[in-house]
Formats: sequence, C-alpha cells, structure tokens
Amino acid sequence: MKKIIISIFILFTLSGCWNYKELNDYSIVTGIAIDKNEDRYEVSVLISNAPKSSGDNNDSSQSQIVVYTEDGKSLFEALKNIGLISPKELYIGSFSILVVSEEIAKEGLENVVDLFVRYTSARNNFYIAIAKDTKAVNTLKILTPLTSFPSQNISDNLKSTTNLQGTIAKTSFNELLSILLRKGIDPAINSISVIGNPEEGESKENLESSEPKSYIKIGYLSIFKNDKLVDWATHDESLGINILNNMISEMYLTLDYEDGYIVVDTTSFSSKIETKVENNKPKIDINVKCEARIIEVRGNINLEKSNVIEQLEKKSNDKIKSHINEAINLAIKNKADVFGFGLKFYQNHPKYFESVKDDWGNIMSSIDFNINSELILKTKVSSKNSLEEIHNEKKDY
Amino acid sequence: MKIDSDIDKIFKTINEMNGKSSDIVTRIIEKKNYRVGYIFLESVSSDDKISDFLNKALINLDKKRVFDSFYNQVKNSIYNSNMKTCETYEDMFYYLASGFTIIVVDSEKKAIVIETRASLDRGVVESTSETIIRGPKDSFTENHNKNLGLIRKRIKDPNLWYEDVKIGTRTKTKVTVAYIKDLTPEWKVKRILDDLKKINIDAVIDSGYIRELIEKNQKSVFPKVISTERPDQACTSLLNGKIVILVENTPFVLILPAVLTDFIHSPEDNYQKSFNISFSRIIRIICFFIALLTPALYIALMTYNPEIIPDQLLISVAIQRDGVPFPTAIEVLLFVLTFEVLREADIHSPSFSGSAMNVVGALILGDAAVAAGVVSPIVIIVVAATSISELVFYDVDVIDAVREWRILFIIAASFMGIVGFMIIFIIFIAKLSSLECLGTPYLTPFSPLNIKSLKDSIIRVSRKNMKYRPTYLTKNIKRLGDPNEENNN
Repeated sequence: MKKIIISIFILFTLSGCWNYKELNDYSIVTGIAIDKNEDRYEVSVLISNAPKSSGDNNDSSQSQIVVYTEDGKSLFEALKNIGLISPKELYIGSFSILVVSEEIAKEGLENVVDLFVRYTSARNNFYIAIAKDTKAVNTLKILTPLTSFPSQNISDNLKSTTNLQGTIAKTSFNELLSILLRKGIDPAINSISVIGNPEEGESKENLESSEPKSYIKIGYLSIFKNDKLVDWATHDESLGINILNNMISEMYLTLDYEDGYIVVDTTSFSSKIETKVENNKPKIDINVKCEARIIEVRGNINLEKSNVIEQLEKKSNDKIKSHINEAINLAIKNKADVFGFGLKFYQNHPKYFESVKDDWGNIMSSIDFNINSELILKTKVSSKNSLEEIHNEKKDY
Repeated sequence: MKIDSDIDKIFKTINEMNGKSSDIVTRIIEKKNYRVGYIFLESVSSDDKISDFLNKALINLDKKRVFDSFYNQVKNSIYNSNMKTCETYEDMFYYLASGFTIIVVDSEKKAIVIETRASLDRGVVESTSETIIRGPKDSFTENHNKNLGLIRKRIKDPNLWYEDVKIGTRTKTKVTVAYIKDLTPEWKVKRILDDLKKINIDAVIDSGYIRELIEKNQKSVFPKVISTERPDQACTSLLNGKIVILVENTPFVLILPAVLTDFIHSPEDNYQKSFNISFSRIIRIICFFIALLTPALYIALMTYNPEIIPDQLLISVAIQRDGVPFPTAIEVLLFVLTFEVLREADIHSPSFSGSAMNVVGALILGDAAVAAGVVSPIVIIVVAATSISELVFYDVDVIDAVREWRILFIIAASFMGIVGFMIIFIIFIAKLSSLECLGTPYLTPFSPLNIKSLKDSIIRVSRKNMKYRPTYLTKNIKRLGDPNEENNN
C-alpha cells in the first residue's frame, strides 16, 4: 500500500504540471480581425481582461479592452508578433468573433480557414463576419455601452437577430468549414460595418453619451463563390437567401395597397426545396409556407371587405416569390450556389450531379424553378379597419 | 476467587481489593441470634433504597424457622424485585460498581445481590446532534436500560431479541446486540457476536471503540456503520433487518450493515411526504458531488482547460484573479483549510464565543481577504458552496470522509488537471465499490443493482408502494399485506 501511495505521488510530480497555466498569466482574446496591407497580413486581437486602469475597486468585474495590431508575412507570424507587444501570453481558446476584411475575403478565405483549422488551441464555434466599407480592425474598437466589450457586442447581435430579422444569418466557423468542404454549396456570410467615425467610437466618450457617435451595424449578406467574396446582397436578396436556407422564423413584408400600405409580420415560416431531374434537365420546386398577421395598416383600407384578405395574401406571396427570384438571379449572376442546390442534387440525384458538377455555376441558370408560396393571414386583429377608415365613417354620421 | 463464608473476612477482602476506597460502605446488623452484613458503594448506590427496603427487612428479620437455612430466610424476606446471587469476588465487585448492594451471611459461600442503583444520568432529552423538524424527538441516553427500553417500547414484538456481551477487562462494559429474530439472518448475528467476543481490550468508553474494532476494512474514511442517538432510527433499521449494537454509558448506538445511501437518508425521511423527500434526497446527492468535486474541478478547469469555460465567465474570473499572488491551487487549499479550521473551532467552542467567530469568519476571512488581494472572490464562492453543501449530511463521518477525499481531488487536479481529477475519481469509485459490511456491498442498491430496493434510495416512493423490505438485508421481505391477497383467503 505504501508503495502504491508513493508511486502515485511520484506520478503526479513527474507529470510536471503539464499544460499548467494560471488564468492571470493570459491575455484573453475575445475577437480577432484580419486586414491586409499590400502583401502583408495585419492581425488585430481584442484583449478583454485588462484590469481597470484606475485604482477603484468598486467596479472590479468591469474591464478595459485593448486592441493590439501587428503585421507579418503570414497570418501566424502576425499573430505571434502580437506576443511582442502583449505582456502576457495570448489566449486564443475562447474568442467569439472573427472579422475578415473585404480585401482578404475577395482574395479567398482559404488562408484564414486553414490557420484556424490547424491552430488547435482555438475553439471552432466563433462567428465570422466580413467588414464592409471599413478596415476589419475598426469593428473591434468601437465601444458600446450595452455590452462589456465590442466582440461580445457583435456576437450577441448576430445571435439575437438571426431568425428575427430575416436578413441576418450567423455563420460559425464550423458551419463555414463544412460548407467549404462540400461540393455544391457556397457560403453567404453577414457583413458588418461601422456607422459614424470609427475614431470617435474608440474613445470613452462613446460610452458616456446617450447617443453613441459611432456604432456597429450588422449588414446584409455577402455572397461567396467557393472561398472568394463575389458580391454583396441587397436587403431583398438577403431575405430571399435566408428564406431558401430556412434561416427565418420572423420577417415582415410591406405591401402597397391602394393609397396606403399594409405591413404583415410572419409568425412561422418554413421553406422546402425539392429537386427533380427530368430529361436530364434539372428542376427545382420551392414551397414556402408561412403564417402572418397584420401589424400595421395605413390608408383608407377596410379589411372587412370581401377579397381584401385574399388580395393581401396574394400580394404577400408575390412579394416572397419576388424576393426568392431576386436571390436566385443574384446567385446565377455570380455563379455562386449559396442555397446549396447542388448539394441537394448531389444527395438526391448523385449520378446527374456527378456529370455536371464541374460546370455547376453555369448549369444553375438553366434550372427550371417552380416557386410556390402559401401565406395564411391570421385575420384575428383588434380592428378590422384602419383608424383612418373608422375616422371617415364617423364623419358620415 | 470464591468468596469466603465469614462476613468480616469478606469485608476485609473487598476493602483490601479496592484499596479501602472512601466510597465503600459496610454495615453489620447484629441481633441476638443472627448476623447479617451488607456492603455497597455510596457513589453509585441510592442510600434511600437501601435504608427503605434492605435495612427494614433485615432489622425486622425473625429467625424462627429452624429447618430453613438462614441464607434462604434472608433472601426471602427482602422486598427488592431485582435480586441475584454471586459467588466470586470478581462478580461481587462488578455488581458493587454497577450500584448493587451485596448481602452476606456467615457460613454461606454465596452472596445475595440486590439492585440499589442511583440514577447517575440525565433523563431522555431531545437529540442534539441529529435534529429534525418532524418526528419523534427523544434520544438515547447514557443509561443502558433506558436505551433498551426506548427500543422495546417501540417494537412490542417477542422477536426483538437482546444479547449481551461484556467487553473490557477493566470497564466491563455491557454491550447489547439487538435484532429482530425473524428478519435478521442468523449468520450475521452470529458473526457480530463472535467479533464482539473476540475483542480483547481493557476499556470501552463509547460505542466508537466497538465500531473501530468491528469494522473489518479499516482502510476507508467512509463510515460503514451508522452511529445514531435516535431510537426511531434504530427501530427503523431493526425493522429493515439490520442489527443494532447498544453500548453502556453512551447515547450513540451502532447500526450495521450500512450502505452509502443510508448516509444520504435522514431519519426524518420516513415521516414526511415521499415526493418532498425525494426532492430533498436529490438535492443531497447533488450536494455530495458539489462538496466532493467543486474545488478540484475549479482548479482543473481554470489552470489546465480554460477553453471549456464560456468566454464571459472566463474574463470575469481572469479579472478577479488579477493581482492574486498565489497559484489557484494554493489559493483554494488555503481557503478550504481555513474553513476546516473554522468548523473545528466552532464544534469545540462554547456557545458564547460563537458570535466572535462569526465576525472573524465572515468579515475578516472573506471580505478582508478579497480586499487585500490574497484570494479572488470566485474562490470564496467555490469554497463557500462546497462547505455549505457538505453540511447537509447529518452524519459527521460522511462529512469528514468527503472532506478528506476532496483534498485528494484538489491535489490531483492541481498537478494533472482534468486527467488527474479523473484518475482520482476512478480510484474513488473503485474504492467505494470495494467496501462491504456484513456481506453487503457499500454501493448497494446501485452496484450491484437491486431494482426493488431502488424504491427507497435516491427517491422514496410512497409508503403504499413500499411493500417489501430491502432484499439485500433480509429474506423475509414482506412489509405490507396485500389487500387483494386477503380477500382471496
């Protein structure tokens, strides 16, 4: 027994505390931004556990953030160079957002993806966003009063508005990786941009003013062909892409009606894509099913009139179809299959897809699309008529 | 040594044996035709009883009948109900020390022993070490007879058997093994009695002595014998087919065999609604693991595998730790030990110094330590959660066992992180599985799995559904009559 105890203790001590590191010896990175300056990479890290500079202990849970930027010939070199600036070891284990500049995205994400696949200390569930009209590093610098640090701001925003906005679809590194590794599907990644002067956003005043001078906004989707950025989608196109990718649970549609407009808000949303091959010609049926309610009525509209609801439903369906059409046209134009049509053909008609996979970008334009949309308006609204209409009726008395 | 047949000689021998101790009282009653002597220890005997019954009887004795021996005449004229005879000096002294009075007459090598015990114990009072909200409040006392009575009055079954063993060459402590004849397997009783008889020790002051001597596998910190001062728990155990050992002069009785789940249960569990109790038990099991594992897990995750922790918590912890001079492991150990010191001090300090200790414990050790930057607040939370969790167990032995294993876990985790943690965890489970008491594995009913007994383990089903006793304890398992069966008859 004594021998066993002694040998266990020797085992423990011989292990030499392998991998042991105290938390306060780390600089915890919560966001990474990658820019390119001519042919050198500029990697910026957002470090979030810098203690508050002033001596007051009242706010010990609050932190100050630091952004360090270094350049290097390779991404890893740039990342390692930051170690020269940071007094503590960089801890990449749990960062939440990776922002890639437009320039690098256009050249291809391959490099970036490769680094994080091989760099095992990084977790794979961080989100990816493309910086639009600004340097990627700027997005990490904007202070916001609502969250403790900018990276959290971006990732929280992505998480909370996906499914609710219609135009936003969060993309985690894992998802991106699986899309890039498969044939017949191309990624669509959200863009983010800085509104206002980024330099104003860095200062503490941005935190203290009730109307921040500068803030980060999640933009529409960016369309990729393989790993290269090819185009930016508009609002409608983003909607169409997300409808087809089933990334929506709530979206609104603004319908022009006579002299006013009506806004309907969907409460449930689902889309189904069915692929067929007829006479060696690809064919796709798209079925959208949703329920919606009327949420805003403007103008002289009497909802009780016969056919009004039917008309509204038809208008909504047309609108949804047009969004889908726009999205498909954008994809065909760029030969980028962000919906994964190719993957569906590969799964359902592997022989056919094998024969056309090399020319899939062009084949896409010859697909016969059949789009159906079935929107049901739940008319259970508090008032059948708009207030304007009621007002007019009163005048008649 | 056989006693003599001469009163003076007997008195002289006893006085010499006991070094003429001051509490020996002897008296010889001399009347015209007879001589009777008696002897008792005034420290353990009741003067009143002796004067009232014995003196009166002896003085009014009339030596008339010629054919009857004088010894028998004395014997028959004493009013006491509890009367014995003894023939050796060793016996005689045992009776004297137990509070008996010994009556001797000339020319007889026997002595009459009558019970004149003084009440040297407190009454039956509320249990202090195992308090409950609902249920019987009485507890065992230091008086052996009262203890036996507290059980007997609850189980009025002729099958409740008591068997006595006298242990301790000097203390001659009475140890009673109680069991219900038709519920407890005979071999278990026999084994216990054999073990008890084999004990060769000079003194038994508390049941703790017996417990240490009969626990076969000594190399375990987990208790394998329940020690309780609640008669209701002793009775519940008896009725489940367990054996209860009562030791003279201590309110704590031993119950065996015990399994780990017994320590998660509280005696109160039988008196409350089954659903509420099931919930409490689940909480206790969670607390068991919290108390055992949290500090080690904290160290392993924070110093070896921080990537498991969500980023916001990680940053919050990292900021709190900033400026703390000690490694996490030392920090945790320091505070775990501080709490143990506080607990140790609390147990032995009289109640009036409790508030001073609260101030030291809560304010100085917690608040000031954080303010001074010696520990991070999260470590205090971890240690506090751990310490509170361990206190939900009513059995102090489990608390101690958990405490010792916890320190092992901490050491392993601080050297090898999550790997070391897992190694110790495997050793922990293996160790628990290897324990057994009276042929019952310690992890019953989970391992070996005993589905019927699971009804009263983590959860307790309603009493209506608990028709059977645990099968690992007894063969006679039927507890509740089946109403349908009776109708058929």
